[in-house]
Amino acid sequence: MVLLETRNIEKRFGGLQVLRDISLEVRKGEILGLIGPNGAGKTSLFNILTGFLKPTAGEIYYKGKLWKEITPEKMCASGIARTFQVVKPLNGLTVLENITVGSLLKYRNLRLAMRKAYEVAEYLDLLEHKDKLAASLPIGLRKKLEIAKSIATEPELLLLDEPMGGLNSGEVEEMIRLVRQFRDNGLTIVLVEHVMKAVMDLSDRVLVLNQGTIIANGKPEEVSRDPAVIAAYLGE
Amino acid sequence: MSQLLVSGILLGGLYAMISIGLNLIFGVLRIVNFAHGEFIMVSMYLAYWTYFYYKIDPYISAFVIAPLTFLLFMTVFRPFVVKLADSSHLGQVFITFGIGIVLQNLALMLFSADYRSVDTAYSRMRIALGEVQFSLARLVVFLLSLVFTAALYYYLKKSYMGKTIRATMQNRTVAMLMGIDTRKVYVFTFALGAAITAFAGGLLLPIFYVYPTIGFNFALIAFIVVILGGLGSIPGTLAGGFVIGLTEALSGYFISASMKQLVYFCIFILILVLRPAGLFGQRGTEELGVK
Amino acid sequence: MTKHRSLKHEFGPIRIVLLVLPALLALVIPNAFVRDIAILMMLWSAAASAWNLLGGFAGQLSIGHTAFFGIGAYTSTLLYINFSVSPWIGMIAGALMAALIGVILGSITFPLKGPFFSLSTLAFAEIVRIISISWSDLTRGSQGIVIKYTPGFGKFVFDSPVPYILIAWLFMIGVYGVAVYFNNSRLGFYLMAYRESEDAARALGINTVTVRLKAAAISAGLTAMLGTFYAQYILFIDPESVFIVDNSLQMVLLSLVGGIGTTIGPIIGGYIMVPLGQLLRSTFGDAVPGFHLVVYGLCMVLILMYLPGGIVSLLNRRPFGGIRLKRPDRRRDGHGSVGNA
Repeated sequence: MVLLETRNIEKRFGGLQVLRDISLEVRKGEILGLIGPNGAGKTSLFNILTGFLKPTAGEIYYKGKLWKEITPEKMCASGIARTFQVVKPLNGLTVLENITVGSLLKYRNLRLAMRKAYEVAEYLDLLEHKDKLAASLPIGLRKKLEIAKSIATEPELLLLDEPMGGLNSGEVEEMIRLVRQFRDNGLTIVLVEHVMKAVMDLSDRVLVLNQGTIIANGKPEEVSRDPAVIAAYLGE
Repeated sequence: MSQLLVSGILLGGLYAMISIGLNLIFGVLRIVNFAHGEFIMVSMYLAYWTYFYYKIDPYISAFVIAPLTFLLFMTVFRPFVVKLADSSHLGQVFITFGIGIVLQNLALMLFSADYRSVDTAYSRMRIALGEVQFSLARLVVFLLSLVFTAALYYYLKKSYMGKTIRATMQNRTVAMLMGIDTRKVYVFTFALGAAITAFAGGLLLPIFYVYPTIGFNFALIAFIVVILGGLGSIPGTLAGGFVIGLTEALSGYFISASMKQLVYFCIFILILVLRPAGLFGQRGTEELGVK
Repeated sequence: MTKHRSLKHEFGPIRIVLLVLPALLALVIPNAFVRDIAILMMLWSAAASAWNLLGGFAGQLSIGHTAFFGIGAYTSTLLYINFSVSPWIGMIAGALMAALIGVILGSITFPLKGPFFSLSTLAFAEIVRIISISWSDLTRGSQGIVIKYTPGFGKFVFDSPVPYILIAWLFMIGVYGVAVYFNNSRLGFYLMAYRESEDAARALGINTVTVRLKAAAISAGLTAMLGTFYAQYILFIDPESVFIVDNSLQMVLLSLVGGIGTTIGPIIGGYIMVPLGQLLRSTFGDAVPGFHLVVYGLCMVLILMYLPGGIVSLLNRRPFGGIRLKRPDRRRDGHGSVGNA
């Protein structure tokens, strides 16, 4: 079943065409990797998919219905959650409170929301830090917190924006394990990532973006051997 | 009619002159300086007392007060400026507001609330060109405003320091990474802004009475001019000054002083909501350095 | 439940003592001066707390709240003078009026960032003040309105200070209660999330506009009610007392001094700054005009420069909630959160 679909998405910033004719599908239960060299347009596409940017042209369909008037909050309420590449913790709140903000979406009673947040913290191994201020966490934990907040909203589709950025290899391994666990528990995931090992390990399918267009779409092994992809990364 | 136009333009130059300093401090550094009016007031009092006791012409003392102000802010007040730059916007508002209150009331304590003015050889001189009349003092301010605007514009555009300032304003972190000592830049720019403002104060003395609370009105106009003209845009300040000056001259007959303030405030909100970049500001840059 | 946001903490023994103290002192000490200070203290603590709901919890730093204060004062007073409506009812009317105006103002100005938002609120408050002076047919302009001294509960006028003390105290406790509610509710959490990071908040499903408008309405309404109380206590209102910027700044200052974004902060701020201001004014006010304000201003500057977290941050090693007054180091995406294409 196709969860999210885009048709002919275009994005222009003034005279600069950043995305051209992007048509993609995200199938339920899969982990879709999105890669491409710097400047390829991944972040713009990501922001369009999550409602932070409006496409200049093209449509987005979620669960078969056309989306008009997309805003980030509506997307989240409908089951699409995202993390930020440069994490945005709620600094003045504790870890548990951060996650609670997420869980409040579905659990309107604060007590219940906090209980749910507690479970999420436990699931992500953040319990020992639950009363620490988010501002005091090191980057590895902040990245986990970022994901914890999103998971707490009980999404169906999770879009991860470079979750491995800045992590050491042990943390990367843990993150890979977590992402796989999410999918096994029913989440569909779109993963933008530069850490190739993670993308190739995790993704069922990979989309390669270069200069605003999709140049490859297939299984990780195929894509990594695709000459066009290799050329794009090495730059001819 | 042409009299009104000329008055308006001269007034515009005056308004631009008092706003240039704020444009550097608020427009470029994004430091909300609620004591701007009091800077002017203090400088006016300084010029007044040097004239009163030593008969030194305010125009001359302006040329002394300004560099002194610059030095003060580069040295003695330096840690204060740094602290101000590191504070949040609300912190800046209140710290400078507090300073403004202190200065206002010190003036009140020391000099009383009396209105004071100077009477120099030229302060009453008027020039007549055809059917149009205007005061020499206002002409001087107007001409100097043009000079300062041009000088500052080229300075920011061409000189190394000018480019450094602009770089720091656009992205402090990147500027730091490029080896720019951003603290120095902040202090320098602030000192420059304060000095220009002090200079303007000296120029204003032959035109206006000075009293402790004169700062508020000047500050209000300066903020409007800076935002209307475009934060960080030096020619914008001049343009903004002209717009406000002309508006005031043309409407002077029709509306009272308090209604004028009302109109200013309305213009202020309208600009902020509709076109926060101002007339000459770059769209989108109004949010630089803000949260 | 997190430790510091629980009801046990917000109404713990120290808090109870703090909250009850001024009323107790005022009732027990028969000195008129002390009673007046206590009432004003509780009034301004409440006003600061009301401001803090929007300014501290949501981070929308308004310096124009006196507009709501004055709207409350004038609405109830004009209804009373012209239509003999009891000020109690007028108070509700004023609150609703202010809430409505708060929402309208918010929807226009919320998109503005940082200092621009603050400046626009200031401009708005000044516009209201100037209108209140010019539209003298409605408001009696600069000469103000005197409320006749006719004691009676329905008229919200009393011949003894005791009811005023109790009502002021109830207001203070009431607004404190609302703040505690904010601290322990979905609305409050959503506001704080917005304050910390608008993008993160939106990505978690929060409609940041709606949430802030709610806070604006509540904050404005409560402030207006306090304006009515002021009118009924002083029995005279004019633009120079209820619409001046000094009031707005007072509300913010108290919150800053005590600890912005916290529940008890604005109240502590009031306990410190109001008596300080009154004492300075009465000691030096006439002798050396301006001196008391010099001292007040210096206090303000020093506290803000060296204690940006407010008094509360001194008492708690870990400041909870609240706006950090130190600007954090700018991240690489200085241009906004969306990142680069």
